[in-house]
Amino acid sequence: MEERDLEHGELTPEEALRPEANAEEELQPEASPEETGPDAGQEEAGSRQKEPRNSGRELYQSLRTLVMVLGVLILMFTFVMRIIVVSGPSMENTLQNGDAMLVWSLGYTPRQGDVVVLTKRTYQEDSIVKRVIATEGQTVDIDYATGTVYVDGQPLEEDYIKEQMQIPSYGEGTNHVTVPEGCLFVMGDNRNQSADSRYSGIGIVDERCVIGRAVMVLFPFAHFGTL
Amino acid sequence: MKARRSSRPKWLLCTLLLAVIAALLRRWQIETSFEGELNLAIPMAPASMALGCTLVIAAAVFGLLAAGQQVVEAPRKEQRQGRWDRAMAAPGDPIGLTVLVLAAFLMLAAVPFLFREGLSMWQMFRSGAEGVSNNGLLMLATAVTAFLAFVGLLVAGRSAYRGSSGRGGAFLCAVNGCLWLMELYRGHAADPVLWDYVPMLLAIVAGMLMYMDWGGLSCGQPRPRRTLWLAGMTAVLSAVALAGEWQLGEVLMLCAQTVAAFVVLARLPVNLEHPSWASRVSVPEPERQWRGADGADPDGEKPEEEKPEEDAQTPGQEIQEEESHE
Repeated sequence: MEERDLEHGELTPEEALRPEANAEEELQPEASPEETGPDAGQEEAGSRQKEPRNSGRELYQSLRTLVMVLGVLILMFTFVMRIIVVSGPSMENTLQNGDAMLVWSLGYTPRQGDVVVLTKRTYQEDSIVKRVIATEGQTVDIDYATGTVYVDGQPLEEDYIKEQMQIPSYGEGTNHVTVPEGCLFVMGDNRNQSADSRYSGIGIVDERCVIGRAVMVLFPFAHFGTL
Repeated sequence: MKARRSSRPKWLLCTLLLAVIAALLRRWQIETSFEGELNLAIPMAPASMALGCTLVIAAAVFGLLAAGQQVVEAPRKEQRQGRWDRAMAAPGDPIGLTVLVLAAFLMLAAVPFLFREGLSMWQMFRSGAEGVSNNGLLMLATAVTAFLAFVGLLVAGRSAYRGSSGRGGAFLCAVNGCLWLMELYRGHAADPVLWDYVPMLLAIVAGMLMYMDWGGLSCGQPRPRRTLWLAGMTAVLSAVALAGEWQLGEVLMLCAQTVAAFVVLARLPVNLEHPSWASRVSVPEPERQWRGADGADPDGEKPEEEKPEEDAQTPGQEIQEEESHE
């Protein structure tokens, strides 16, 4: 063993087993000019190789940056917040069709009055945007005659709805219900064009279906602002 | 002289053990931790907790192994010749080559399935079917980059076998990871159940970063310990993802990634501990083989410099020798 290593002019066994103090920082593939010694031929060869090696390093660094940014963005969009584009008129006038909004997911617990993004896969694969009208334990009553929603007997002041509520095309649907534990009653702000908890296809929504709370509109800039 | 034992068996055994445990826990989780017609996750389900803890333990174990990994400083001659270029080299090792070629062909096998799926999505999108918002272009792009990754893994395998740098190959695999990651996120952005896709997402991220570090070894950015940590996590997370239900194309890509991670775990520790082994090329260059076959040397005798080194042997043999000195 020892003879072979020494014969090849590589290193002594003691050197061979010496751990580097910090290989991540100190070791570079190129030796410095002081290390290479006065061998002119090797220096020439080194300078010839230096340019492509440096361009390769720059390319690598650029690619690595892109990959890291992509990874961080995807993880952030999965666990922390998302950008979701509104599709449909059910939340007018609060949200318009095509608005890109920022949705906060991390540690969010739905509260009454929040605009939330949720997915009810029995209704459709894509997510929907609605407003939380009532949370677990609260009782919802909808009076279509006066266009008023009562929660626990108290009428809601809904200055955000587009127009006075009328009986929707699918009928009155669910208009008196006590929200079960861990569930939400949600409705769109455009009551007359919204499939929501009144509609049997959606119904009362499990809190675990909620992706997050719509915090602000990012785009178009004309609609930019918090919700 | 008291030689240290190679850390390769520790890396391989720990990874294999953790991967099997994590995959079994994932199966248990799938069977017991979701409820209702929407398959929503049961909060604080024992299987989910156990799986989460196992992944944290795996990260810690690999962190400890990486911190304790011996990295021997290469002599100046080796450094001048590009020691890190050959950090993944296994000159003349047919097993390493075979395994990487297997990974490459697993990647190639994924291409038609991905392409068919992407094409189907595109056709559904074009037909204006209700509720279809994914146009399948990312899936088609993933299929194309999967083919590039197949080429990349072949290049990496050949380079490792010949003891040369194969940086481009690893980068192609990383590019495939980028597209695959975007496609996965695109398909699950509206999924409220994180457990449905987060294991796969983490596996892809870990694999992508592992390939980047693999390529970075020969681009002046050697992070050998981090590369090993990422390889271990890639194997474990891929096993967790494989225990779920995915399309065949994605399963094949996961298998390719897992195999590549095990190649890193089998090769890199040895070359970190014995940098001189990676430069002992015993494989004849292609030109020399051609010249011999051309009849230039009718006796079939190779010139002296073409003969394999007398002491050329596999790393495993040398480890045994060192241990016998103890």
